[in-house]
Amino acid sequence: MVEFFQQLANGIAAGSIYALVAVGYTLVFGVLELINFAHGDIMMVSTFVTVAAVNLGASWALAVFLGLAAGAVLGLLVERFAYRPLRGADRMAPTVTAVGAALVLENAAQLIWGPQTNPFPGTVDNHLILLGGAIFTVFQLIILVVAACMAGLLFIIVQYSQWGRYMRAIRDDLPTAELVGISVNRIVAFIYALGSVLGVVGGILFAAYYNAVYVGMGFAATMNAFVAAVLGGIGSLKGAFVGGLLLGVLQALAVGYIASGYENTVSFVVMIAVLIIRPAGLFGRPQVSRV
Amino acid sequence: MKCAVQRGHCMISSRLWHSGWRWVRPLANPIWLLPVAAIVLLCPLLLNQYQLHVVTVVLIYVPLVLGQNLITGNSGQVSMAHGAFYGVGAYATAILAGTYGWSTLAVLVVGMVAAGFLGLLIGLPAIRISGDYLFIVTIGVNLAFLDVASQWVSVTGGTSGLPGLPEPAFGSFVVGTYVRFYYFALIMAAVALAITAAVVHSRFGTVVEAVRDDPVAARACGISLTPVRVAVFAIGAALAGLAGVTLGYFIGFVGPYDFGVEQSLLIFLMAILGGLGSIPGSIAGAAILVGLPEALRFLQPYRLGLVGFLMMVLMIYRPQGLLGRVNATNLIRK
Amino acid sequence: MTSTMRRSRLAGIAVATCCVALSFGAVVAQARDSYTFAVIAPMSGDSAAYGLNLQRGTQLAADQINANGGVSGSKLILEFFDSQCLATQAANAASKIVSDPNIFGVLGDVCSVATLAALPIFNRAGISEISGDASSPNITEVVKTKHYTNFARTIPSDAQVAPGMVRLATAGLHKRRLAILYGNDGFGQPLYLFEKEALPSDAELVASETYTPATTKDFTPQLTKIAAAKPDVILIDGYYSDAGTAVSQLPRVGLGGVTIICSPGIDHAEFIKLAGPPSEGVYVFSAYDANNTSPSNTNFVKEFRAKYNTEPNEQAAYGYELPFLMKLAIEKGATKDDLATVVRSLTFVGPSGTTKFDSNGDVLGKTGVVTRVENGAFKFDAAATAAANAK
Repeated sequence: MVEFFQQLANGIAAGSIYALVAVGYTLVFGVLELINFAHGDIMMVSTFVTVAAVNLGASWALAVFLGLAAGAVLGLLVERFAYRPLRGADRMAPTVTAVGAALVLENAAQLIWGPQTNPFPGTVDNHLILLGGAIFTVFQLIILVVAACMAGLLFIIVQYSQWGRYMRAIRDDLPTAELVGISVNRIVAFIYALGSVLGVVGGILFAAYYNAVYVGMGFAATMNAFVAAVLGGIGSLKGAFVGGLLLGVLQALAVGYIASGYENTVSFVVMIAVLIIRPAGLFGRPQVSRV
Repeated sequence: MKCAVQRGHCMISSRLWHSGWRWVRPLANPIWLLPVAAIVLLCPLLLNQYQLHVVTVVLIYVPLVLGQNLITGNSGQVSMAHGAFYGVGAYATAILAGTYGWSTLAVLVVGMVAAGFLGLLIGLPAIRISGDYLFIVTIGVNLAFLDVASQWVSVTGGTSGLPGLPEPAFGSFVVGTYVRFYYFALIMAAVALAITAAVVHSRFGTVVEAVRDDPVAARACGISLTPVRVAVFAIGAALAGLAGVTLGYFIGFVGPYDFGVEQSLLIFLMAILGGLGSIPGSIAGAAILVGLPEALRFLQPYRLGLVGFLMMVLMIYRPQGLLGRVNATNLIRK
Repeated sequence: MTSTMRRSRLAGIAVATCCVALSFGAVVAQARDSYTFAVIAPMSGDSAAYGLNLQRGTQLAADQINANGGVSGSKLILEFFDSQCLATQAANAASKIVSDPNIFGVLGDVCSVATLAALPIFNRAGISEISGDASSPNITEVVKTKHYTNFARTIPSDAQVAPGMVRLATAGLHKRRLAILYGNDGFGQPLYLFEKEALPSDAELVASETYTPATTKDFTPQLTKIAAAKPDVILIDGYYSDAGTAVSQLPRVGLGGVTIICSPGIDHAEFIKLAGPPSEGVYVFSAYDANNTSPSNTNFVKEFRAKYNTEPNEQAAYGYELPFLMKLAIEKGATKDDLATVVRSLTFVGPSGTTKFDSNGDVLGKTGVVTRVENGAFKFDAAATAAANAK
């Protein structure tokens, strides 16, 4: 039984990072119904920026600020060059260009910082806590709290602020939103930037927690974020948060009780199951399809 | 139907002209057909070994791109699982021919059927999953295939793969030299072309495109959507399986890493670059994206970025690719 | 067909033909007062880090050779080819190599998968391939069954390393409950399979878990499962970046005090940085000991550090030896056709120790060394090395 609790704890720890990245991802996904494939790679490049800044002697505050700024800028660039030209087109084209943007970022990062895994400059609080027989580290709890706070903050922005209202209007009916005078370009750019910034927070925490910064973390993050968003329900922020935690737990349990080495298969099976049985996910709005 | 004699078209056979083999018509123009056929058949005399190797690889990619074109272009389903179908064919070769010593013909058939079956399995749930979700789900299929291929050590050799495969043989005729491999790949590509052309230019092909363009209207005309979409997936996958068998024999070694997401992305890009919905486009796409990286080897470190950049540029400025008739940006209605 | 459609159709066909044609022009001719060797390795893609080290090692050696009079007075030139650790790409690169008549021999590959794909092509063309880093036992199998005479490798195969690791655990450290954590790739998995086979009858494999190299960052699920089986030693088979992360997570699941034995490839300075404090006391196998005090090694390490500003590792050291091995073979009269045969007859002393070959081109008698992490650095552990290599 102890093993089960420990696996649960492992899953929640990994899941909180998924949750953080998924929440940022679902912002674009939920409002624009677009798979922002570049989300993970924007996060990866910005995390590298932060790490590079620290290695060059910058203070932590400055480095983190630079990373967040890089995330926002990259998000804006992706929106401007990979999404906006295709706004009128169907859903496949912007997905493909997002993939293209992701590949460009990945290649650039590999050329600048190299293909190897780099350690994270800085130590995190790894003191162990015993809770119900399972071992946690202090940092794991910090991540969980940060993820919850960010998700909550985002929720408040979307539900109660004016810009949040514009975002929801765009999600509901973009052409009408445009007609009503909402500056769609600006809001959409804002959404991309905000989502990216959240992703970067997740990225920095990920790098700190696992003591590893590497080029491949982008793609993995995107896939996990997507599955988490599907699990939780497209367009639902709390869904993305819960979906992330759930995915982490499912993966941990799969490794613990089925077999390690089939991590990807588990995510994929879960995703297919959800999409077939309950396409709206846990908290999403049911989609109506015409055929 | 009038038997008009048009300039440049010769009446090869008026029976063909009027029967259900209408699809022969576009191919039957001898002005470009004869020189091209001559070059294609006499290639080995004109090229050195490396060049022949590259052209053979292009020919192996042709069925792959044709299959992808069928699924994504003609049927409008965005599938990124082609790497997995490719891999199924290759592993069929490795296991059946390598471990069990089956004959080449049997391996070809089983490879295509196995890949087609996997396509069927993917196609079924694909109905419920639309456009961009399918994109990610099929990536997941690809990753799951990699998992299985690398974990099932006793059958697939795991991550180290299965080396030392035999050469393909038809009776006593062994395909053992570069020249013979070229013709082998050429015949396979021709078979794939024939299958694709038959599907596309037949009544079934029209139905497929109808389902893509306006599912509601198609439904209203009494066309059943699910079998059509699933059938296309199966056929496209079977073509990929054919390519996989050819590859397995050609390299003589099969390992899991050639059949991952990067491979699927490459095949997808070939289809889009050449132009969705166009068979010559598929061939062109394969030729360009195999030939160019070989010619520009010094650009290998930028390979990923260039692929990505090309995808972006294509989608924004020329979504119909080089020769396409279908506009990729109109594939899925919002 | 409208004229614009016809035009764009022709344009498309023209572009496609051009691209295939362009690749034809890419074979370069060279003057023959030099010896050109192809170095085939992953220069891009996931394994690019290993190819980079090989590149650095071989280039350093080539520069030194040329500065000291070359090979019998002729220059030694290296041409690098990217195989991306993929079978198809390796075959393409191999095909390109064999159609260049100026290439005397091939050095590489790092990945066993790429070596296996390229070897038949090299064999058909009669060109030799000498590898410093492809360690899969599959290669020995293929060389034996197909009677290839054009291959040799200077690194011990995994079939020799894995039993050594088990021996250290059981005979050397008297452990009975083994657990194995291995990377799910062409390096970790074969090691695991050989370790399973090499277990003595009085020891037990209580747990084995795998992970996806470079992707898995959270090892806690695997480690928790291992912890539940209560092992007294854990063998880790993989590369340093994953091993470092895994070791750093050991205390989190209560495995803080368990003995750890790591495979070659983990002997990299970054491992200690990535793993942090839990790396103290970890045994690490090495096919190459950077702290070896032999004169050839200390020279090599000094030069490498000076030129590249980083510590050399296994790929770099083995790569460094290859051009010198080629020089020795050529000066003994090797031709392009019998290069590997001559190499197999040589005895060579270099940074990795003494290299001799058996009839399959596998290296003989190269015992790995075992180092232990002490005070944040790798220290050669004589007792452990002796225990690992005892027969």
